[in-house]
Amino acid sequence: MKFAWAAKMSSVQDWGEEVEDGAIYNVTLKRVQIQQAANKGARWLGVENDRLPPGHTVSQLETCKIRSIRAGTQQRLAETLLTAFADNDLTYTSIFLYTYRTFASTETVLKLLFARYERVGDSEGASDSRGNVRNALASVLRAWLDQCPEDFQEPPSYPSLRRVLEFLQRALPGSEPLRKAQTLLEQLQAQHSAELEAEGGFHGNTPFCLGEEEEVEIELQEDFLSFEADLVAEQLTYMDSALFKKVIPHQCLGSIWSQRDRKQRKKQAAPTIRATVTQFNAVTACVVSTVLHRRRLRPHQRARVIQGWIDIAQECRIRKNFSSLRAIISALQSNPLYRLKKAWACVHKDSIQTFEELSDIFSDHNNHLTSRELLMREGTSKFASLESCAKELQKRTHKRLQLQKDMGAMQGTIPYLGTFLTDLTMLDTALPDLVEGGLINFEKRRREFEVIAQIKLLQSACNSYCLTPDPAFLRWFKSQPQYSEEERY
Amino acid sequence: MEAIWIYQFRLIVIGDSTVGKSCLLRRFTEGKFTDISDPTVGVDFFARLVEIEPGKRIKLQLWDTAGQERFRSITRSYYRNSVGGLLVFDLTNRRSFEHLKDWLEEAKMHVQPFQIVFLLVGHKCDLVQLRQVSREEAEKVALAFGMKYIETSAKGTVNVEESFTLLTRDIYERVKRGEINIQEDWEGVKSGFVPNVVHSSEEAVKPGRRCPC
Repeated sequence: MKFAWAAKMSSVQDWGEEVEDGAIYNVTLKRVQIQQAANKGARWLGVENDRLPPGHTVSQLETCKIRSIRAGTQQRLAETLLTAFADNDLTYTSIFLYTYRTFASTETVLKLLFARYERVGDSEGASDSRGNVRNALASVLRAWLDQCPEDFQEPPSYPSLRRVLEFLQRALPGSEPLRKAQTLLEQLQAQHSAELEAEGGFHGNTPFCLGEEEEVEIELQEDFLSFEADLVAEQLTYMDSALFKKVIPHQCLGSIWSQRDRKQRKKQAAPTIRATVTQFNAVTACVVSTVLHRRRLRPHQRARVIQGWIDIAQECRIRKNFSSLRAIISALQSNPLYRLKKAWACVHKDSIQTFEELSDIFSDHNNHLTSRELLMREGTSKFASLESCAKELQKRTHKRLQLQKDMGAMQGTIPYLGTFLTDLTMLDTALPDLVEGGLINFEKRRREFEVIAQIKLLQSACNSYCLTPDPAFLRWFKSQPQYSEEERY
Repeated sequence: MEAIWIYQFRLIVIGDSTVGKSCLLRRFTEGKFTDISDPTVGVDFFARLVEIEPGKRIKLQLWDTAGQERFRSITRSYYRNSVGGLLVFDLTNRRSFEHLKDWLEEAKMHVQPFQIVFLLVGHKCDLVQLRQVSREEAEKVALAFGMKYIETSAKGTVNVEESFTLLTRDIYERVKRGEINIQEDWEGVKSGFVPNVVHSSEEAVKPGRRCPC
């Protein structure tokens, strides 16, 4: 509603292009009331600055010139960090920070920024201008340390972070960014030594790991059906949310995740994404192995296990855990299980209906429109909005939702990451890296950021989950055999 | 208005994640007869019409799971509902060639009880200097797999069109010969708009009722 209003009140006018040495700008004029309409990425991030209380309308129209860089050299793009705000390109810093690894290293960007600062001092001499650049640089560094601390994870000597520290100590002693940088260095060092102590360190490519303190001896032959559906869903959500929160958004970018760059292929790229995928595959494998289990399981016994998983899927839906939900659904749809006609014939018709409703969420019709819309609608809402046709289920779902509301337990959202990865792969394929004159196509990065911003928003919503691990279940889950392809038949 | 087509074929493109599947699809679909535009990504990828004989058009529904290759159950779920596939490897990457057998095995396993018609595609043939797989070798493998073979390049737009048409034609012939049938719970092949079908079936029933008197 708010966006529609803002869009209606502002009239955008293309003012054309400004071409400079090593940079091309798009210039637009906007007639705005109070503020400009935020673009999609900013909207998702909640960057739009509605400082005025609702109902307090100032009908003042202003023309605001927005100068946004469309393409440029490495140097120009880095230096734009210092000027974008003044040009009313308010999301530039975020877009740059989340996408620059596709065209420059952390080291290079820092070098260019500091060089720019030094140049101002040398040539222009005006203390005023130097002060401006210093302030702009300070706010860029603050944003950087806040939003992408992982960029500075360069053990054991942390060269980039030391460079930042050295600059801040010299230019802005006692400032907030300096304190931030110092804290970050301590954190990274502590984290690193903890990892060294933990044998082998964290490879990031393993599914969820149990903490060391939970060395409880548990009978491993626990039966799947002895776990309550809501417990299983909660534990899956516990694992998924921990992994999703760790996802470093820029690792989802098409050129990074798909390892388009040949030089990058040797390294295990995108460990945080791999961890999510591994967990997804482990859930799928767990569904398959519990249903197939012993070879002589009777159809009605298999049907009970299938029903169990459908219940769990529904519980994942209530928790807005679309990752495990999709993993379970796709496992049940997979050929090894799908072909168990006799077992499916024994599954209760209410369960079948639920299964079909849940499957519909992931229909590929219209490029997964259903799941996208659902994610948009529920992404940051407190609870899932469920409408089910299956009577019995409806009752149970309502009861569960009511219970959640009574307890004030808000739900986060865990998306199925694959849709974002495909979107970003397609964007990467469709848009060129370089445009005329070999300039870096920053317009491409703006488009990619729209997807990244959605991931970031969901990650922050993910903090709403309030979940506690259940060692018995987690241990059982980890002990599940992963069937080989042949054994599934 | 939607274009008229006689059949819809669902196709998949499989192969290692770095072989350039998306590029191939993109080249094939960009700006040509696309009738589905995706508002989310703003990229047309998913459908195209191909004229197989004058006046006879086939709608290709193309499934691209690029970026999701490692979510095993997701990519597998696409096999069952596809009638054809491009099995793609990168001519400059020997490993992607060696993995073909794995891709094929996986496809066969997950396509049951249906079958998929494959075309073997050696991609990036423009990079002559970097080539690691010879045409002869690839043709031999294609023969062993029982597939046709074609070499493509999205960069130079070499054989992109041809590869999809070749596969489409192959499937079309099999449908005509009755080797592949339209089935209710299968998305692989669907028949298109054929006007007056509803009426003719009703009319066919009527005469029979009159008989007994």
